[in-house]
Amino acid sequence: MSAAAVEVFLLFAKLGLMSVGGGTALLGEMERESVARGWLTHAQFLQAYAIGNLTPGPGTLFVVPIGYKAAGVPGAVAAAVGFILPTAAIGLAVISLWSRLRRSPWPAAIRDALIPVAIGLTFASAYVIGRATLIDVPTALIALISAAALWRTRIPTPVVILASGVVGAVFLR
Amino acid sequence: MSELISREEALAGLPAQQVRALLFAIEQLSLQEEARRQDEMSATAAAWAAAEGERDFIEAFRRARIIRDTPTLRNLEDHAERWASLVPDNPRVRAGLARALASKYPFNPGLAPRLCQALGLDQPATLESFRAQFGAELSTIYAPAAVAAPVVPHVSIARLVLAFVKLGSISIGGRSAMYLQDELVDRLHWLQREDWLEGLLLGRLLPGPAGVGTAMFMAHMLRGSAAAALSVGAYILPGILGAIVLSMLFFDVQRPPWANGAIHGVSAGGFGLFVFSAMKTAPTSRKTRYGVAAAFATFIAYGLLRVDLVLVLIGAGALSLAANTPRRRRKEADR
Repeated sequence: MSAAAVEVFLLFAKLGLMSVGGGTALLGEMERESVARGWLTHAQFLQAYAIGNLTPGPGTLFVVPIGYKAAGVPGAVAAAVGFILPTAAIGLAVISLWSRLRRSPWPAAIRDALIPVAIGLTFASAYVIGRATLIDVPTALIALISAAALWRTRIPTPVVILASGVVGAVFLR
Repeated sequence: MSELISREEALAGLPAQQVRALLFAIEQLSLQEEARRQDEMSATAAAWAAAEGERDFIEAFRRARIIRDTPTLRNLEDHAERWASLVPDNPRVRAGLARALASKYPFNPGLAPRLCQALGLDQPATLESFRAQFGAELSTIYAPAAVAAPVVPHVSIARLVLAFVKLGSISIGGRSAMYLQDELVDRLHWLQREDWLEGLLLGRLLPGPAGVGTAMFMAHMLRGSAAAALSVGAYILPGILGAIVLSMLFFDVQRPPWANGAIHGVSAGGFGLFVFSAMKTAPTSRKTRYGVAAAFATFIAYGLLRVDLVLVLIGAGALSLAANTPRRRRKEADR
């Protein structure tokens, strides 16, 4: 692995460990760090984020194009592994512990008490994301139609999302 | 077995003998069916292995074949349709049988719906007869949801990893955690909606990408730590490859106007998916005491007032917990 790829790995490992609450919280920090190192420009950072949005899998894979820009394919892999592996190792340890506890009376009560809170959070996130995503009437229409299609038809989810992309490519230029 | 039906009950005229005999018959039939199913699988595997010329494989399979002396709740549930014909119409016997079964195999309608169906536990005559015989509601025999053994289906590691490769490949739109609910809860029925919500919450609380945490929790529930680690690898690999290819194609190339439109379209569609996923979870809030109120308060605090996540969890969580302490939950279950 090249020195650049190692640097990418270390930066994203640090950023990953700092991020609680989904990974996108550190977007500003990530932009500052990677632009300051001369890996990419601000415009390219936005491009990387757009590429991440078109990629399947966890949304945080937008780190891959940033790593790619910094150190080619090894950099791309280093960014993903650095961002995900250390936190996943911690996460797995916590999950194992929680799995052992979660059926005892108090942890089970806490879990059940937090289920409606998780539901409320999901709706709250939908509201927050909606305000950022639905920039005009056509995007709102696409969101509405895709939600209705998922609700009322048996069209597979990826097909609905891909169709939304095609409609966007044609009508949202 | 004798403690299942007390002397008083027997003297009071419960057809105890019949219940005991039936319990034994149901257990044996479930075991027999389980053995038959495993034999069929074994035969299929043997045919396949013979074709492949792999005798070791047959031997390994034969050794792995486990038939126990007593069935598990899952065996009883799996073969409920088969033994249902043994259960007589007599509500007294049904009520007694339900009680005997529950003391040996803690269950409730959520864990063993087919078993409940086979015993006719939702029928007024059975409920009435239970009340008359035992002086309590039939629901008192049910195991509380948190204590009863979870019915997590056995999923092979290969199937689990394949499921995550698929999830990692199809989940476009930047809302990957929503696909987990779609696939693992609604399509494959491997896990419950509550499990997904629990994973969603853990994903947000743990450091690192939320979708990864949620995926890891769900895989862990199905097959433990090693499988969870493998699954996460399977889950992110397609996306890494995809992102590398897209980076090669799109970086430094003047982005055509349609590409911007496509990104906005995919984001809007992804938002539609998010709303759909949220709607699916809404009825689950009714299962918790004051759950609707807790969900609503959380929405206002986090969505409208933008209160910090940790504060919301502590505040709303504490209020919700006050209404759902283990003691209250036991009382609820007794009612």
